[in-house]
Amino acid sequence: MSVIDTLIGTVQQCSPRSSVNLIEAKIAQVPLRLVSLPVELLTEVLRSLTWRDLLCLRATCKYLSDATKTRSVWAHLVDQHVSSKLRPPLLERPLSMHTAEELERLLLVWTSADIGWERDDGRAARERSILVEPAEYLHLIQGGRWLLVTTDIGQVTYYDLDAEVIEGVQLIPQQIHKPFDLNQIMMDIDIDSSSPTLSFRIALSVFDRSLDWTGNEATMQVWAVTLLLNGLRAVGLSATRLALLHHRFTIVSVMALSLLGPTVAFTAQSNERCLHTFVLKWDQADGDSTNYPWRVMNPSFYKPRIQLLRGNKLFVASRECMRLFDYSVINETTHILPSSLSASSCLWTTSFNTRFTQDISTLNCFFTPNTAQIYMSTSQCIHSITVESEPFSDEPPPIIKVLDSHRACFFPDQTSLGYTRAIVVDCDHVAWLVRYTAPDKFLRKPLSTSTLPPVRRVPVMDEESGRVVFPDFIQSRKMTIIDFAVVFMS
Amino acid sequence: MVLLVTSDNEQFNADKDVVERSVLIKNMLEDVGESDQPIPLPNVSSSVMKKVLEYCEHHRGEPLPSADADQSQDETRKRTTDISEWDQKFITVDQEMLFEIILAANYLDIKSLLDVGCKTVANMIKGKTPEEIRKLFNIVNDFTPEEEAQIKKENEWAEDR
Repeated sequence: MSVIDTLIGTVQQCSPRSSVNLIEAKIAQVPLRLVSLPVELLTEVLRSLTWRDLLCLRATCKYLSDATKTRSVWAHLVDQHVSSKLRPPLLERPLSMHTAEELERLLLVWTSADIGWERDDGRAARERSILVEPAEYLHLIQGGRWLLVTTDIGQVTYYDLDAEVIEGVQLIPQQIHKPFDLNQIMMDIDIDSSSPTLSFRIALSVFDRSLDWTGNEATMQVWAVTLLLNGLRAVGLSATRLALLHHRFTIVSVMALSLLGPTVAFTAQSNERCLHTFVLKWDQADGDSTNYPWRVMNPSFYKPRIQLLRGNKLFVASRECMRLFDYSVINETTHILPSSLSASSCLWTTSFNTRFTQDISTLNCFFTPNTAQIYMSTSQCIHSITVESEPFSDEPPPIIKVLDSHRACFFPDQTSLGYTRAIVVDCDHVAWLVRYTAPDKFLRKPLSTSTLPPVRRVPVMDEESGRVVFPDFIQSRKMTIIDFAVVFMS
Repeated sequence: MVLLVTSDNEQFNADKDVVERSVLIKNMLEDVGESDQPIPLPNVSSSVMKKVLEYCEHHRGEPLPSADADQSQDETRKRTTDISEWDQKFITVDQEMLFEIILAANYLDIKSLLDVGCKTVANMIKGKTPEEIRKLFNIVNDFTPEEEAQIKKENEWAEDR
């Protein structure tokens, strides 16, 4: 409007009589250009571009730069990215709760992480250090923002790694009176990917033997963790206890634990010296009584790693074999051990080609809509197996060897397994980034070894955000957070 | 037959099922009912109208996207940034005409033509450096040197490899 006013002014000065025609001519002379498209049509154009094209367009001029900040353009790209992945990234809030800038950041974090992981020199874009509570367990929640540190007395503290200043906030109070060598804590996390805002559950098995001989306290607890919102922004996490049940007195030690929905499974040594795996519905077993029903299965001598799968299945892997069970065919019992165990619940058994001398140290499971992709590290190898849930097959799936330590020389118990990559720590405590490819062909490169201290314990990784958290070798409370993404949420 | 009058007062005679690919004209015809009155289109010039009618003629009889099909339309958009051969030939025009067609398609509410136009512009932008985009579209760089340096620094990581 103001341009036309000025034009009228100028034109009237030189030739008042034909001003209107002149203006029309003047306007018509200016050829129609990209920058003369109204924003809503420009947005239509921008919706067909990639993030990289948008960044290039942003550098051309102010008008187009502003247009590349349109919310719907980035919402479209985020949506596209999420739906193109077999295992989509987890959004902590629905798209509608993100600002345009947040959506842009989100997409650029994901894409720059993908690029960062592949960098030849293995150097990270950002490195920070924080001091945390002494960690018994470390968990980096999918999305890379929330680090959970569990201490040896069962206190869970969360750290917001996207915050300017990273501070610990207590999520779950301590569960054990005081540190003691014979205490035992096991923990597993089940993320509810169908929830619109980040939501997950924590299963904690706690044996408190720090009390004098008046009695042990041995419990199984399930906590629900949800996002604390301030308006549309996520500012923290909060936990509520959903269930508390006491371990039966025959259970002296829990070796493996898995949580999925309303079901918890654990492998325990009972008084009989043999290991059994127990499956129970935690939501029906809350309370003081130890009279809750459970299903008992898979007697074995070797320590297994277990993973509950959808459709009432339980995957059990030990050094001798891998088995898949349908626990729903086993009768529930309130007996400690039923007199006979039905073998019919086992759907298949399959064995490794190699004989292992040590137990499986790490098992990670990644769910896609129709499969569960399971990775296991043993003393010599990383193996992978894909269990199809839909359609289900009675045949055991092939076991794929994704990494052989003959060449890698890694510590299997200091391996962090991701969906397409792993962080392995070698005999010199140097961390390596490994990309899974075809069997026995893997890509391996050191992770910014010039700056990283040797690793003391298992690092944790989140592939989506390009984030790895390393416990320091010397200072047990120091954690190094390294980012392979170039763009950060804060 | 429907009579259309463009901004430069040229008249076009076209079949009803051709012009009705424009939701705007379709609605207008529904509103006025059976009538020989010419339909004025003050926002479209004759040269652009010629192209638009050529497009509508070629695509006559094809199903129109329904108004509530936004979701599925988004789906097809995801799958294709490619344009059919005929459309591609049709849209090979100078830049000014291309933007005129986009504006006209928007005004006349012809979704598929708007889509072809916008995708064509997008394809022209794809894979180019900022400097190449400026040159192609005659864009004046109105950033200060400091602003430009800042943007360059922010985008450094994204430079193609």
